[in-house]
Amino acid sequence: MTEPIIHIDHVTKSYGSFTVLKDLCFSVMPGEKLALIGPSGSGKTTILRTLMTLERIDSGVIRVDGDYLFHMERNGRLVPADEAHLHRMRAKIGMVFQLFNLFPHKTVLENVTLAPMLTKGVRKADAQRRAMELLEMVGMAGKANSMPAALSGGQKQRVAIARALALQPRIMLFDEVTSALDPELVEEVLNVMRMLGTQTDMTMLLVTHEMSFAHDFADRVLFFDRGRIVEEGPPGDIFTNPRNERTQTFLKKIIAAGQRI
Amino acid sequence: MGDWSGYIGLMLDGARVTVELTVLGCALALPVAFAAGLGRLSRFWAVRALALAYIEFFRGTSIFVQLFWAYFVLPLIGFELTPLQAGVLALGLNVGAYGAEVVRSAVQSIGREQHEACVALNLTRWQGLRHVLLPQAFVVMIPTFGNNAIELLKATSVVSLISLTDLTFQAQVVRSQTGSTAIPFLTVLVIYFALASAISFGMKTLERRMTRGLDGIRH
Amino acid sequence: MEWDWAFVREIMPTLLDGLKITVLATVLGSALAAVVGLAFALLRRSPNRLVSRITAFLVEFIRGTPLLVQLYFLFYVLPGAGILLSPLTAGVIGLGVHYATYMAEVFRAGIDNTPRGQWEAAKACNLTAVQTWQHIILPQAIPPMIPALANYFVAMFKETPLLSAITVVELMSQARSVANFNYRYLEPMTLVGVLFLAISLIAVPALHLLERRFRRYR
Repeated sequence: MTEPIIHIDHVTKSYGSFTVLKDLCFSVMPGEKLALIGPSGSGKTTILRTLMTLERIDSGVIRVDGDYLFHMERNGRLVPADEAHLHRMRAKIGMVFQLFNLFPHKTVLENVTLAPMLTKGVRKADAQRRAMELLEMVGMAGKANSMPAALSGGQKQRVAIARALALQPRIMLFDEVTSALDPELVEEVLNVMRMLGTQTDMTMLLVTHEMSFAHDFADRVLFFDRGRIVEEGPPGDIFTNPRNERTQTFLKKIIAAGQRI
Repeated sequence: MGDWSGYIGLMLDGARVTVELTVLGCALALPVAFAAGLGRLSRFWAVRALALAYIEFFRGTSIFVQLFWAYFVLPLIGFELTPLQAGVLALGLNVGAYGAEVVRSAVQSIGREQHEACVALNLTRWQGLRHVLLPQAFVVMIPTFGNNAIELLKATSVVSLISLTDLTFQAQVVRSQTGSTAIPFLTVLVIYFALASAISFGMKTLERRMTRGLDGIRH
Repeated sequence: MEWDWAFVREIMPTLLDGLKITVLATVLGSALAAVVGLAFALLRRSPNRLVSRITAFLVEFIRGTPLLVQLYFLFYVLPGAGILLSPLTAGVIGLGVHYATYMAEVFRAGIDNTPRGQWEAAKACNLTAVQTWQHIILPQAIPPMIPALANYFVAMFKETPLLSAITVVELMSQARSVANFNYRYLEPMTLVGVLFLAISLIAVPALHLLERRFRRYR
């Protein structure tokens, strides 16, 4: 039997008196496509940010690809990880942000080549060849020499996906990647994600409010509320036949707001 | 080695002169800053030009040059000034020019809607300025005025070069009489820093008082 | 007292010699101020509380005390500790370190204005701290700071007359010596003022140009 690629074990995190993650446990299998849904403030984004090491946890243990994320073993005991360990672990994970976070002073091509050249010592010519392939894949090759400011939101997000892919991560995190987009630009980004889902065996975690996309795309859906997973299962079950009362209320509100599932 | 208590007395005398210069300089700079700053916003072309010329002249030349000019050149055209008068005049007019830009930008920073509300209520320009715009703008000015006052305090050290016996001058006296260098200069640095800290503390207190009520709570 | 053009012609070359030193001191001083200012800003952000506190206090102290006294300190006290500086070197160091405390504030604001998403994206791209500063943060933060830094450049230029107090023979010191020698103050002091004003007035449109040139991205 294969081991989970992500293993989250009794993780708790608070901001002051507000607990965002309450004794959270779940695992993700390699290649699995996981959708995290739930009301805002329920902890779903915090989980992605924690996996990217943008946030620290207060207690519990996270393992990624067989290694501890925030800990390392020294003389048989778990001690907090040092920066070198975190650097090694981050190489396995890529992230796409809600607000793109492209580097505004670099061209599209430079955005994609920068990290491979700096973190993996890839030669410039090789980095550029690989970047052009990725930009081709997300349909942005024609804008390789543009500055980010000249792009639409959808275009920025496709470049951001290419940038994250350039490091060849085993796990990709998508944090509400279409929330900041105008409605007519959402589909071009979702198309790229669909293609990644079918053409690669990457593990993908996405936090999203696009329920119909989550329904079609995910192998499994986790419903978060107040820092806990209230319900989980295949999208068919969660969306058509939710058992938990809070899941039902949440989905009713989404449908009332006009979304199809 | 000489009599240290005597030297401490000298230093304190110097500190008194420095404080006097700072207070008088600020007393001149404040009205000048308002006059020139509001002058920049005047309806009348000539007033605007005059204010601009004053501001650019005093910001464009160095305080040092202005002081020497006041002390050495003004007497030649009939204005005999004591070193203290020359010092206060140069410091006040110099810092007043910087303060004028603070006044202007603070008044301009008050939103258009406040100007328009004044017009809609049929206030005269002066009434609007006096009762609506300046009270709001003044709060914005305080922190920068505090910095200007500290700049003025620091600039007072220049008057020692026209033989005014301020703190910096006395440090030189002690140095030449005792041959000790580190002690007199460190002492005056600490005194200047204490004075600057006092100004910034005072300004913060003033700012807290003035902003009361603007946060929506009546005190 | 009448304005004497012949005297002006006679002293002008001496004053211009002084102006050269003034410009030299300004250029060297501001280069030093930029480097030390950046160092102050970075040390101020150090995760080590002791380092950041000490830096904050040092910056406050230097900013809160007169440049003239600091110059005396460098000029009179350091030789006692065996550090001999030429007047110009002491002047450049004094001017540079004093204005570094102002520039540090500009750097701090510029760095704080870089959106948090940029730090996070750099982390997601697995860049090290040094790489993040070098390739992501500073290249974005510095261009918008340039007008403010240029402003301090002009301010430093106007402070250079203080160097005459520690025997640097710049413009002011030349003017004072010709004035004392000839017992005529009107022309030398006025010319010094005119030269400063002229250069400052040239600097104003140049600053506006810089401001337009270095607008922020986005």
